[in-house]
Amino acid sequence: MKTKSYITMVALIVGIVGSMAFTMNFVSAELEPTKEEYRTDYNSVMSETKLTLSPGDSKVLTAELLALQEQTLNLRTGIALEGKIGYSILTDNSGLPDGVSVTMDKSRIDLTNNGYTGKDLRSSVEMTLNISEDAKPGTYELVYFVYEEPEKGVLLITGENIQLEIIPLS
Amino acid sequence: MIRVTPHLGLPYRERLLLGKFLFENTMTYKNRNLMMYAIIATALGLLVVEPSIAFAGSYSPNWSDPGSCSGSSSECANAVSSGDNTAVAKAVGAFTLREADAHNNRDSSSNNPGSNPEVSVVGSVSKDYKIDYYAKGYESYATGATGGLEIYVQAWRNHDNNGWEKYGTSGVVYYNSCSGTCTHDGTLTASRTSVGAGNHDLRVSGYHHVWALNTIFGGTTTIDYWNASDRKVETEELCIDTTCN
Repeated sequence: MKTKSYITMVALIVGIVGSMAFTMNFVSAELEPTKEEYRTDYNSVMSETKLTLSPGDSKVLTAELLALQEQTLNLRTGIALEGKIGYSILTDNSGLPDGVSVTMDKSRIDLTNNGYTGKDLRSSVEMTLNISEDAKPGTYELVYFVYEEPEKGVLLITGENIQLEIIPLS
Repeated sequence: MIRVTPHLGLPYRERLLLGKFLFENTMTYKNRNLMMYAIIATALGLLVVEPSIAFAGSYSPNWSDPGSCSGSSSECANAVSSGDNTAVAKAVGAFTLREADAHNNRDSSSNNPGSNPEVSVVGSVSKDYKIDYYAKGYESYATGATGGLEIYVQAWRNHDNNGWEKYGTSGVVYYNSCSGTCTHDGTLTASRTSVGAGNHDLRVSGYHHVWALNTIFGGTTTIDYWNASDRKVETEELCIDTTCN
């Protein structure tokens, strides 16, 4: 009798474990999508991250790019409202608030392995923010960003936030 | 809505094959009682254990329907109705930030929060800090025209207790990389240095954003922003950690 109970118990355990193995195989294959992993191990440092300007003002900012020296990178630059970065890139729309425009001294940064290792200052971008007379007062979250395209259909972005407050002329 | 697998997880063909295998083997063994126990146990196992496996995986996405979001923001209102319907975009998904990590550049073993993976460190530093973080999103969207799925993580600093400042945004944008219903299980890893010397709190937040062009060169339809708790948030909201309490 004891032997029978023992066999029953073993059969139960084998059955449950076996069914788990079957189930895990099929369920995981069904649910698990393709995984993608991307690294952004470079970043910029803005000369200023909070600006208060009035209509008619302009301001020059510098963004230094820190990146690994052993890396070859082909980067592009841009600026947009936060939440509009991808839209800005893909539509070639500035993505900036009405009355705000920016000019940059370079739109591409191409870096090659310089023989050293580690992260260091590798480039800088100078940009000028212009606030037109008809700019609407308010606070805007802007992002200066650099991006690369690791593969077709994917953009990898790293950006620095700039809080821009436009106040009316007193 | 949590996804349920109603057919015990086994595709129809495999279930037939399994039944056939068990039946044939039962007939060849002397101890049929034992095999009957095994069959019953297998059936019980499939019925009882399978649902817990389906929900326990890393990819149980805790789906939410953006069309029924409870917020009153314009993003919410526009989520399913704006545009001229030449493009349809709809996003569902979950987004989590994990293992945000901050440490002193000079000594990565110190000031490491370790056991608190979703927020980082409070400390007095004389050198720049480095903050490492990654975002993992499982999202699905359908778009009828040009569209994009974006996942962003943001680094915040509180310098000398002068208030929280968002100083970095890193993201990955998937665009036109599929058609119909598209799913990305993406991990974005970003590292950041130079928060400046002084007393700092460092934290990480995240959001994701799906959009589609209404026409080829038309405007954008913002679909949704979600935090890690699947609560809809505005990007402007001062969400300084992943829970947005």
